[in-house]
Amino acid sequence: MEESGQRSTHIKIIDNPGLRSPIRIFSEGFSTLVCWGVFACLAAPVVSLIMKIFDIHIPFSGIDSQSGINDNLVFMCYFLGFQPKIIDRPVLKSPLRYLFEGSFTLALWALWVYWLMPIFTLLLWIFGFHLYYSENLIGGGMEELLNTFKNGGLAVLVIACVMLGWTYYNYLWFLRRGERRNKSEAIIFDGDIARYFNVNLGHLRRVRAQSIINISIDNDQIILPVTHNKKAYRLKAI
Amino acid sequence: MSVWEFFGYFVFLYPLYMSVVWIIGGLIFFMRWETKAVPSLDEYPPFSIIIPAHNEEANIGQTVENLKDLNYPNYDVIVANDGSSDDTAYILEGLVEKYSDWLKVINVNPNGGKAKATNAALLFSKGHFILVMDADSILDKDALTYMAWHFVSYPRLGAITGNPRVLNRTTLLGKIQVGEYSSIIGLIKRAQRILGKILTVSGVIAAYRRSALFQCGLFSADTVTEDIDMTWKLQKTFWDVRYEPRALCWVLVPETIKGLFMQRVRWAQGGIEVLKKHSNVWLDIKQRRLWPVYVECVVGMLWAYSLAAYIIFWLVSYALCYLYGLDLAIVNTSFPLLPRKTGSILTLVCLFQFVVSIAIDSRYEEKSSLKYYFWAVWYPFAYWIISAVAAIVGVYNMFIRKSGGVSVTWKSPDRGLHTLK
Repeated sequence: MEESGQRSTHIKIIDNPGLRSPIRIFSEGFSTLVCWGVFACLAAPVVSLIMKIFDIHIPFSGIDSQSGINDNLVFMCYFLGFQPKIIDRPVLKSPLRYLFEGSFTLALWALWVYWLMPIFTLLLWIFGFHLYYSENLIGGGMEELLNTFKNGGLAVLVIACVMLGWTYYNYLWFLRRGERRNKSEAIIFDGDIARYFNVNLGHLRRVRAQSIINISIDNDQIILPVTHNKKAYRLKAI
Repeated sequence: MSVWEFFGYFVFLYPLYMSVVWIIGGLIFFMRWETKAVPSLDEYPPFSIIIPAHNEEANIGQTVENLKDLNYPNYDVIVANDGSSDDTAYILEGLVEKYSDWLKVINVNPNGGKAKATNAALLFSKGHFILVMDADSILDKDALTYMAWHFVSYPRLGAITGNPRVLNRTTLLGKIQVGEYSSIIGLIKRAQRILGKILTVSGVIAAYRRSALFQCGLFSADTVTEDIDMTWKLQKTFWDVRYEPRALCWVLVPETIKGLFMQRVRWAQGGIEVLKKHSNVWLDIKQRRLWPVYVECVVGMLWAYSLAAYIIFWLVSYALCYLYGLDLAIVNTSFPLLPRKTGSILTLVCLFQFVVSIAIDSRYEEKSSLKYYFWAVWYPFAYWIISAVAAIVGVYNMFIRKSGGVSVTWKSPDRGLHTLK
């Protein structure tokens, strides 16, 4: 058995776009994009705040790998469904080279971002982010949002503490009380089952030996098939 | 605070805080349990797999064939053919001829429902542990081993449920359910396991200790979801119930809105029936660990009603403003989709929950499940509405139509677009 629970590969997912009409494919994709748009609108105030706090001006950074292939390209390839065989073996690099390449690239990215700042500012202005300044800085919205984050973080902390505390309390409780509170047997045998259903054990075993068993249910009672003693068994109601 | 404001806060804050609980619980469970390798077993106690089936000619062959080479040395399979009127019995006869050493078929007549068919099969079971699975699902080869380890290691364990994974992903509904099974079902079960009690095992893959089933009086036929009922019966008699996400089972989910809605109404109604049936947990202090699960379930129902009331109230107010020119401040200030503070934070937490759950569950997918993140945004828009309406209809069925409390027979939703074409 695989150790970490990765799924086995014998399952074939049923995803057959051919079964869908072109109109359906288009409408599903388009309406999902609309949903994303609504989500983006809903998330915009907090995103703008986060962008400001962390001074984020680009969607994702791209640090060139030492092989010369830009990570963004790999990222795009991945989403387009084909992933090239990338040669990327950081162990071959010395720590100094690793540090130099990474920090120098980051510095260059900072320079590029600085150069692109007017364009980003223009784009943000077009999309209404200028409201950020008037609402959050002049209007005091930032303090309110920071308070929200603070209170929200406090709520998350409290929830986490309660959950961990409750879990640990249960752990200690059962550690002290022992594993089981109920005294039931962990295993039930055929004789117990026969008694439960009020059927003769021998008859049950004879019927069970068959590969195909036909039974009836009448008034919630199982009726076992006729065997050697020419009578059908009416069992306990289920 | 006005009633309207209270409703608004409840509708937004309840999923927000529960989302935080699920994320934290899911992460703790993941770090505590899922990253560890399961030790090998010294012994392999007999396992019986019970498959209740009704009119399953399309799927039963594949389901049984898949069970022929599980990575567990000591198991048998019992198919309880519950009064099928199609060729299920004929197909099973052929399968028994091929696999008579481990396959047994119980033909039950007349059709009495899943609970009775399973109980009848239990009479002929040999295993100390019983795995009950659906007739249209594919069990992972290692699932029995993962589950058996828990049973062998913990004598107080009464049941353990596995991780259902969506097999059919052709349509939008199928893709959304991939995210839902990870983000909602999987994450909630992980969190509930950390907190000690589970609301329900997944009926599609749940293993039980046979002695525990008999002690609890077997499956009840008077609820529409016998799996939820059995979970509560076990926990009320102090049997432990666990979740093992590494025990996988590939399931077919409905891919039509009607089928999905039918399924969700059944789940909601089953939940309400169980709450009513097991309300006596409040009379026994020893059952106090079930109280939080009970409260969470009740509040979830109330939330569904509140969400529906919130949306209806807003729409009616807006219509009044539009038609009669009334100046209702509520319309200008409370449109649910405007990016206000609460909604914005809820949105981010929701997206983060999807990231966490899909990342945790991606280890059980052959290919990256990240692409399903694209479709996950549908969940709050479509699924919350469907779930809210399903909960309302479930309560109506239960208390107004009085359809609960009777012997329940089979009523399956569709099993995907590929089965309808």
